[in-house]
Amino acid sequence: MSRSQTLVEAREVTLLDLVDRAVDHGVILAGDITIAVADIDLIYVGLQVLLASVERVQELRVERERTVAREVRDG
Amino acid sequence: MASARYVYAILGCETSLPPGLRGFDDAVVSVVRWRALAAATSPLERGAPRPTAENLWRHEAIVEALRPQGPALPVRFGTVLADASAVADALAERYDVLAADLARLGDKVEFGLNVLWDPPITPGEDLAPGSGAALEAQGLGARYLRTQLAAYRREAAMRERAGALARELDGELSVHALERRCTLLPTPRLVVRAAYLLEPGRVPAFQDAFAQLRRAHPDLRFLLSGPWPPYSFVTPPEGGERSANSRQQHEASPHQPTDRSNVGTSSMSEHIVKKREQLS
Repeated sequence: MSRSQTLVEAREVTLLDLVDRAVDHGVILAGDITIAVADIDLIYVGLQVLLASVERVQELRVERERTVAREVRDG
Repeated sequence: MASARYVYAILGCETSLPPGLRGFDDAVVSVVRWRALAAATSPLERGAPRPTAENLWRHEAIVEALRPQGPALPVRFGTVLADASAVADALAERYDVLAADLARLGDKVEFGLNVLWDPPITPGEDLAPGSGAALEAQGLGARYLRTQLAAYRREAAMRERAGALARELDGELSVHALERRCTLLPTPRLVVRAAYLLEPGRVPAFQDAFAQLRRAHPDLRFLLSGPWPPYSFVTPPEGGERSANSRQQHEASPHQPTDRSNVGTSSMSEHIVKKREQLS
């Protein structure tokens, strides 16, 4: 995986951590949150999708490394 | 007409703002004070910001820009009050809790840890009594109950393994932390989700401990991010408006980060947060 790919992936995963904090935690001031529940649900749906995609990227990387190793071994 | 105010953070009343700091709608950030507290706010002209990635990063960027100025508590994204007077009222309403949290957390940082695993596959036959001919001889109801029992035992075995793993990880990391929040198996693939509250001076030791832990567990995937403002550790309002994450305690620590990336949003380079995310 190239460094730029890693950076993109890291930024997205970090966004998920930010969502987990800034949307779900933090100081609450009396009855003032304006985000609808549906918005939060959408964010979390995105989070799950992204986590799945991160896993897929990892799997692809492993597959590629295996392929390269096989090609090297087989000449 | 008074503008609605977006609130970014709670500060001490003596804390000065960075000059020229601008928030949503490019409005100047200013403070609303109440006794020893202040809220960093900006007027909203175009309604409450939507929960987009850019807006979340902007909220975070403002909070991070304020923290070097003095102790600060991050306010939840999307907090909008009717006007400055309502902001002062909100400070007054939770004054004691906010003042205590500011003293406890204002200069602390938190790190987020997610650990992914391949859920262990536990053969049902090994866990369920009886097999083969005995199974054939059982009625439909008995077979159903056997299946249910096997599923229950698989689940229990997985939770037990997850708990043991979480305790091992947390045992290494929490020695560097003041507090932590851990959730076990929020999803089957995510064995642990945790937040650690640290003194800023302990961050290098915590990261070293993490790197060592990661090396010791090549079978797991670790996602570590931070330092963040201490979002996860502020006191929730009475009656609890927090998400209902179960919080189970374990402990952990390691050392030496490897592939660390500085992460931020390119469009907000000045104040933008640079989060280190370690992927393995």
